[in-house]
Amino acid sequence: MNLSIVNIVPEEYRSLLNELAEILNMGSANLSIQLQDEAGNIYYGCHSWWSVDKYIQFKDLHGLSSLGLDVEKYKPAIKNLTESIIDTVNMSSDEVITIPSINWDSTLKDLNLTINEKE
Amino acid sequence: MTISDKLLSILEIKDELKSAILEKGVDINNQTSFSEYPDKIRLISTTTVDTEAPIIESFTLNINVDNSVMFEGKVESGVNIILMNPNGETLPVTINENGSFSSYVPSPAMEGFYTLIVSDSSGNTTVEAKNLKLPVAPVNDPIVELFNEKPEGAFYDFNDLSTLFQDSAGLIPVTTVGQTIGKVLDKSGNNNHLIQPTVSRQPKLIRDEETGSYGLVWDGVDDVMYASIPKIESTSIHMFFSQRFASINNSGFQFYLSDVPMSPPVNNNRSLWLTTTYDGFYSAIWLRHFRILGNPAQRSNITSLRNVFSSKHVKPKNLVVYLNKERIQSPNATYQGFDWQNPAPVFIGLAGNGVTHKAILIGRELTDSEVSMTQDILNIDVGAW
Repeated sequence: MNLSIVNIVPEEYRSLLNELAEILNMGSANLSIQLQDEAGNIYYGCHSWWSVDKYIQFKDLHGLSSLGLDVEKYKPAIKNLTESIIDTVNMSSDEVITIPSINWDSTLKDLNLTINEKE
Repeated sequence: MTISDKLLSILEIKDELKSAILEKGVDINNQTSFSEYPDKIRLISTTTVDTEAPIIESFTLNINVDNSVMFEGKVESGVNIILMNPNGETLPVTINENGSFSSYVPSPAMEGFYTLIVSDSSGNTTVEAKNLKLPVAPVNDPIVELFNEKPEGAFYDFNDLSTLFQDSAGLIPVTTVGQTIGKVLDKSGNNNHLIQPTVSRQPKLIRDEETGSYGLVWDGVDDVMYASIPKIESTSIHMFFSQRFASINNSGFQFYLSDVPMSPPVNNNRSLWLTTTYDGFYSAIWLRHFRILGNPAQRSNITSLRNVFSSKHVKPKNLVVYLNKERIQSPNATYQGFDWQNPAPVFIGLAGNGVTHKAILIGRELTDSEVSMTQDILNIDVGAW
């Protein structure tokens, strides 16, 4: 699990992505932090650790299709998923500790998002 | 020497020169006249000599539960690599065409510096070393003994990999660093096991490179683990945790009791909340003689509130205790109580930033020597004294 990944998605795609994650045995309500841009648009975000292999599997629409999933249903949600990825494989434990916060804070700053509420 | 001998000698020298020029990669054949040889040699002199040191793209070590070790990494393709143990003995290494390599060291692996030497055909060499320090053997017995009389509470020892699982059902053991954690067994005997079924909220296992102790790293965004407990009847609670904080820290670390599992946690109106932010240092902290009365109409009395930071890591930034969202400023004061017995359940939770090695909640009074002993054990994990 070397990839620090921040996921952010517009509100309208949140339930679809949470549904997909649950189907992939990742638990419920992964996208749990409500965010807001300056225009008042709502987004949801989370931070999680991924292995490269698992991440490739998640992004592989053909792979999802082979699991019997309706890819067309989830494709718009995946396309609207903003991801910020930092590979920590060569980092010391001192550095790894700091990466999630750095990744999260910088992503929100880049997208001009603020935390609205935590569920 | 006759003229014929001299001519034969010249022909031999010409043959040797031709072979030498060919070895240097310059085209030459039997039709090339001897007068052209100087130009061919000049072509050799313009050939670029590789003076760049070979690149080590990655070189990592992973300690398995049985203290065997897997070295892995990647170097540029076509180079030779040698991996030596701390005694200078060469270890068997498997290397692929793309430069990925691995080497397995059986248990128990020798502690000390393992040296990777990478060299290319031009004789350029790059060297990198990794210091292998095996995890400190779990020193849990004295803390487990604090629960001999079956007080309420929980003891989470993240340095004891036998208590960690990747899934919240507790079916897939944790075997190495980097894996995310879905369940942590409570070693107090109270079966207050921590869980987190949602992957994005799971912390992951990390190993402190200085102390060798394992711990859970929290992302400071949405990670949280919690245990549901039927009720708390104790009127005195001790809480301890050993924690290393992230150098960039905007949310701190929380160890709490609440009536909701909270994910991410919220300092709400029905909670006991121990939180701290601390920039880049280790610490061992405890809250002592914290008395909670079992009736919301009554008020809790803080008979002693102490937090002690190790002498090694100074300048504590902040340690704050909240009871029902009210900030506790000092000991020997009274605060609004919370009926922990009604409603049930109550949740024990951990969340926030940095790395946690142990967390202990004990529902009874402790002696000074017991507190001191607990601190000593926590300090081992965080490299403090």
